[in-house]
Amino acid sequence: MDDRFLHEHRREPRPGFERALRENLREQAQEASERRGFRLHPALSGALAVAFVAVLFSVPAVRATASQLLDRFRVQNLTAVPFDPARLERLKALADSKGEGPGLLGFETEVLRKPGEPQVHPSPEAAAAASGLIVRTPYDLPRGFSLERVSVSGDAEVRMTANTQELGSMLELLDLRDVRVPSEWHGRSVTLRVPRMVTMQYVNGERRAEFKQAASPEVDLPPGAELAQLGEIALRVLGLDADEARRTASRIDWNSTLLVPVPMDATAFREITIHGQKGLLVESTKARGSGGAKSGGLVLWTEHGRVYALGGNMNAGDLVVMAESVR
Amino acid sequence: MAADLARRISMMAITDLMFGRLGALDPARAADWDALYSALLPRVYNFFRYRVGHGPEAEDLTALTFQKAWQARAKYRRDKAAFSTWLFTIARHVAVDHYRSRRVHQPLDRVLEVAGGAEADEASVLRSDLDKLGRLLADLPERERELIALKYGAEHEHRDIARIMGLRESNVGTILHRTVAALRSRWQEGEQ
Repeated sequence: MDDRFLHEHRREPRPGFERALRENLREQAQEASERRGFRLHPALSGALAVAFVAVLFSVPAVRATASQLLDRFRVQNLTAVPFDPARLERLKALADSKGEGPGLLGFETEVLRKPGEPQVHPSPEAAAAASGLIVRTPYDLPRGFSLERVSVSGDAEVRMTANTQELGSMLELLDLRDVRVPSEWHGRSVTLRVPRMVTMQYVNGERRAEFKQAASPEVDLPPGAELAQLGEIALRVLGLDADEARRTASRIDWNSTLLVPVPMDATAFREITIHGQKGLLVESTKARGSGGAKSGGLVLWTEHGRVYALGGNMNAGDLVVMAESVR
Repeated sequence: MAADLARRISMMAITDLMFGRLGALDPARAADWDALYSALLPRVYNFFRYRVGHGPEAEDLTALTFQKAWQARAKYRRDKAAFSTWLFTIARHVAVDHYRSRRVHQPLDRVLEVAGGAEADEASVLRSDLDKLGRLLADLPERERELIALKYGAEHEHRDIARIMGLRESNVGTILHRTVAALRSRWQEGEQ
């Protein structure tokens, strides 16, 4: 008797058992999902990446010479753009076939600084002391909620370089045959810096909320970037028709506005005011009016150069009250 | 590796910062349960086969472990432990509860598929070996049998076993070495 002998007595589970248990767990997951009610469309994060990266790479980066100072993109405004989730599914299929995430289609990325694993701290004060960040906290919590966890993720830096051929393939896949990617964009790079971020999780049984805060992400941009024209492509990727994309792009300040794509089949959005600053409320259309654990949403706002996000499976009113109480 | 990290970071720029990785509100979604299930089911199942023996019982306890893990998914923290470590901690508790309610050790496998001809002879030998190994395992002290189950059933590295059982890695190696030697000795005694 030896190691090999002992290993050889392992057996694969019966296929029938494996299938039955898998089905059972999926049913539990489905039931839990129905109980939870709100869930942002799974396509959302992918669409965000698509839109954001499309905007980034609409930048004629390398026209800048060494003597030219770079402009800098910082988030000051948020603009919601409804998108068709079916469009994203097509992008995902293309990305899967290439083994990439949808946000990276057409771009090569180079990690300049790794963020590391988030560090958990016993309190917001401890997180602030450890990270050197000014940590703000919501003081008006819905009844029964309590702070469960505070963590700080590290900053990161990544350089992304455009591949116009792949970008063209992506547009072709989306039947955007009238959109042209200028060939001079090929090989141009931008550097994205993601700052440290504090995350607080609040729970009350099955109901959960997550509050995130960070300085704005920054992207170095070359001077003279024709961002409006370039942002227009991002809007077309999200599903706006040519006229609408042109009109919208001309109204947006692309040096400071982050697109927030929201899936048109599952969510609704509206502008709100938090601490006198413009923000966005995104809520599940399925959950509207139902209240309680079946509802949910997300509040986004910027304030004094910082970006805040508060989301959870609670009704929109509670979320807004909680956001307003952040001090 | 680098591509994965790059993907993670670029996605993080948006999903983490702006939308706070909403998947984190639903840890079950944050973890890819389907993939974890496929990868860990055979290991958990074999952990119980070596730990408690008996096919149907091992299946029941395996199912119970995954169900408990699903129900407790909100408590899993990826920053504190690997998912497999967390899952096998649950499996250990399931095994302990099982023994509390029923202190009967079963052979490793009671039933083997029926085969004919030469295969029947091989199956017969294998069945005999399984029965014999099952009896030897059943006679081991709890801790030693659990170590054998984690090492050979669940195919854990010594370092992981040390984390799961709260032992030093060097102790895991020592105890396992001693236990396998004892099993070998008793196996040979049975053949004489």
